[in-house]
Amino acid sequence: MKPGDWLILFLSLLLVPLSWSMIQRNSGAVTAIEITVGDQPPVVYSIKDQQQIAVAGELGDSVIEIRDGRVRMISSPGKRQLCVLSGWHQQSGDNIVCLPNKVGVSLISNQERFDGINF
Amino acid sequence: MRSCRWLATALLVLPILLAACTKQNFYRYQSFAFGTLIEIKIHGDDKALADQAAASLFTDFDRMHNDWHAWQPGKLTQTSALLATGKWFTADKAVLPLIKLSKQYSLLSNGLFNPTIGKLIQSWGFQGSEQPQTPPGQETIAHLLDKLPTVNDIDIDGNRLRGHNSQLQLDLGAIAKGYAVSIGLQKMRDLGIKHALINAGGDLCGIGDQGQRPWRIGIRNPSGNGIIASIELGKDECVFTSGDYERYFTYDGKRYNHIIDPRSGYPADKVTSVTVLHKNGTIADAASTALFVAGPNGWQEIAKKMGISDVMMIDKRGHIIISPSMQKRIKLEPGDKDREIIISKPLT
Repeated sequence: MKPGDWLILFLSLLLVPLSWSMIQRNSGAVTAIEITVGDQPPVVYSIKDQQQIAVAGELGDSVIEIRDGRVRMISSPGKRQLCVLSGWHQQSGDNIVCLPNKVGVSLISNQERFDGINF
Repeated sequence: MRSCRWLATALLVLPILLAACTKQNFYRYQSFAFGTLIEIKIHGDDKALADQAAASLFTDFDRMHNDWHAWQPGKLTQTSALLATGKWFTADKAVLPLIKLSKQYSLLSNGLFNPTIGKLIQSWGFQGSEQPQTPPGQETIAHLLDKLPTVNDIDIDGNRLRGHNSQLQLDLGAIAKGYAVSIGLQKMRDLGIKHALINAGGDLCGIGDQGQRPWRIGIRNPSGNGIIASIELGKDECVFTSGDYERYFTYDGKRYNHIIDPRSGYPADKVTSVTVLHKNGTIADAASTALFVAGPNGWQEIAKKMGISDVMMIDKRGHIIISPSMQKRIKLEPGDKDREIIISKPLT
């Protein structure tokens, strides 16, 4: 092999761990949210699309906001407001749950860092 | 030269192939029960079996939710009413096993997990759909504490029960989810499912693993929405947390959380959260509440009595108090490595 070939081989060997670490670093990043209302199948929204989404739950509309890779519940007709008070969420595997309106938001990733969030 | 280029190309493609290999046959299901969102993740090859198991579990959870509800009329409220009469009666089989376990674990917790104080919890407004606005008056709490029931006020003889305290009102909220998840996992095992994770509103139990690795759980930081630490579950293991940051109300600048200390009648306020790791979800659920109530000075004794060896407690200063065995399991997030960590004596 010529010296240039050795250089290509060396650079390739160098790039293997680099590429692998970059793939791993990106794992866990939220790529989408799933909104579940009651027993209906979930609807998926990209985390990249900055928007507010109103969904009709059992008591009325719950409004979800996606911004800067995060998601939060802006308003919901539940009296305790626990889901609204929980603020912004940005970890894959996490959920926002509005009861009794039965609206759930799950943060999902192509390659989840966590399978679930304990709290 | 040509072989060198092939090798270089292969090496560059390798990480992408490795990443692709981590994709598994993975099924995920959600439903509402126990006042929260229940999520089931199943790893395996048989989608029909996974669908069947998830549907069956959600039906069970729905029934348990209704049977064990602390204030909506049902089998548990009927049982409370019969206990208050002071006469023997045959308990409904839908509630009896859970009442027996509740009594057992309450005794082990020295009464810090007390499933008979429904009236006290109700006085704080934590039963019902309304957000509490004000704490109850001191006279109300004093009156309720005067004849505060304990599990010793419940006689159990086979399938018959008798109460000794007219104030007795069952609230199994600190144990019901753990018991339900344990039953659910056993059902999945019986159906032939080997790898599953049930997330019951932030309390999780797993069997088997995720496929390529153990089930990996992030523990939410009590002070915000980030993660404070992570843990990999064993083959059959649960992680439960009791905290003051999920259900609470603020009155006159003071925060009142939903975990009531049966000794004082007021919310337990010595710690921010307690995380317990255990093979049994029922024990983990009851113990996380009991240790939260016990606080930073009395939790070791209760943990030992309840057979808990893996505990992480975050106190009001944000310090982490952790048992040695739990310290070996927990991986703190980079931003939380500067926290003060106090390692307790071994619990076993």
